[in-house]
Amino acid sequence: MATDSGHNPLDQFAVSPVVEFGIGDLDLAITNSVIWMMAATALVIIFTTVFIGRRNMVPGRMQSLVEISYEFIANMLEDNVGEQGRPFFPFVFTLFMFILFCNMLGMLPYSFTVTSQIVVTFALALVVFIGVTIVGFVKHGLGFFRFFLPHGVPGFLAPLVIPIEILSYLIRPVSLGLRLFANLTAGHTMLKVFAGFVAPLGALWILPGAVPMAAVIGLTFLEFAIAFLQAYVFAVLSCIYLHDAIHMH
Amino acid sequence: MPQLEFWHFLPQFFWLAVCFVFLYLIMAFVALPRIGRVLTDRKHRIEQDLDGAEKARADAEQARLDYESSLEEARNRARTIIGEAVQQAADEGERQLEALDRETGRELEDAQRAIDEARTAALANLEGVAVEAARLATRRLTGADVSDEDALAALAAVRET
Repeated sequence: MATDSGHNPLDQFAVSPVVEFGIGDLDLAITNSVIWMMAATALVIIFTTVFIGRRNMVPGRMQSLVEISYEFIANMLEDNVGEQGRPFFPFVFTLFMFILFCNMLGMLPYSFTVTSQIVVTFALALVVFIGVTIVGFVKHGLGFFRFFLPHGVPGFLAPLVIPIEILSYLIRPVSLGLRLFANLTAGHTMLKVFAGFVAPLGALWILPGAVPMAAVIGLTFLEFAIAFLQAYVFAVLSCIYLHDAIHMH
Repeated sequence: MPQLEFWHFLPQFFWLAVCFVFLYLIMAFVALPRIGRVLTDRKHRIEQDLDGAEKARADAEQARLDYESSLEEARNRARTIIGEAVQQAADEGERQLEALDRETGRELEDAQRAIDEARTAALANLEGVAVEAARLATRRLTGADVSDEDALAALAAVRET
């Protein structure tokens, strides 16, 4: 896939070790991806702790943003899961903020998009999937298996419905992880592809270079929207899965 | 595709777990409770202020009602006082009028009586004068002395005709 000039649009996703680290035989190197992961973590912590002043009856801009994020996720959880979703609020909030900040940091020039790493998105999706399944079994015991045979389905359809339901349940983490990964990867690749056209065509003549430039500008706006939207979608789907586990359809 | 190179899966997964768990703990035990507290504090404060405003409004309304009722009361009292004063003045006037009437009646009677007495006295005197005049006239005319009794009897006889 690599090209001679090193301008491959996929090079931006290349992971390289920055600090070698390991425990025994395990390679736990701090890579460029890990550094941006840590940056996102640090920024979320700064965002949610530094700007909150207890005495501020009237919030400033940054505090308003923090409060809006809080209420946004709290309402999302309330709407999708209801009162029983309260204990999972910190998890959903963490999930949303982490993905949002990773996505947004990826929009910085020369940065690295953590959420374009399939291992990261799948790990997050698996945490949601496994967590939700555990919640389901804790809540309903073995009765959670009834989840795979929805109410009102005639008995003779059971052999058909149950495998479909199980399959659709098991496919959730795949679709959840793949969606985030694919959106971010495709978007950033597209940005790079169009950006790669700007200079060569621009050298030719000013107008042909301006066309991909305009596309890049448009795509940048789109990518910002996607960065937010995908974080939102991930969090909403997690809420919906949680709802299924708690209320059984 | 660089994302599918297997060697970086483990380190990324490991550090993701570290970051995410760390972030979760900070969010769950530090950041979110603080934000939540700020929000509930504000909500309480706003509710308190609204309650205070509502109470102040009710107080103002009560004060208005009190003021109006006291005004009404004062008006009623003034009306009674005026009524009483008018009644009293009318009574007093009537009483004085009656007293005046009685006084005038008495004076009138006294005057009448005095007039009657005077008239009687005058009439009595008149008889004496007439007798005297009759005696004097008889003596001058006839030279005869007539007694008072005769003159009186003659006068009475004249008066009866």
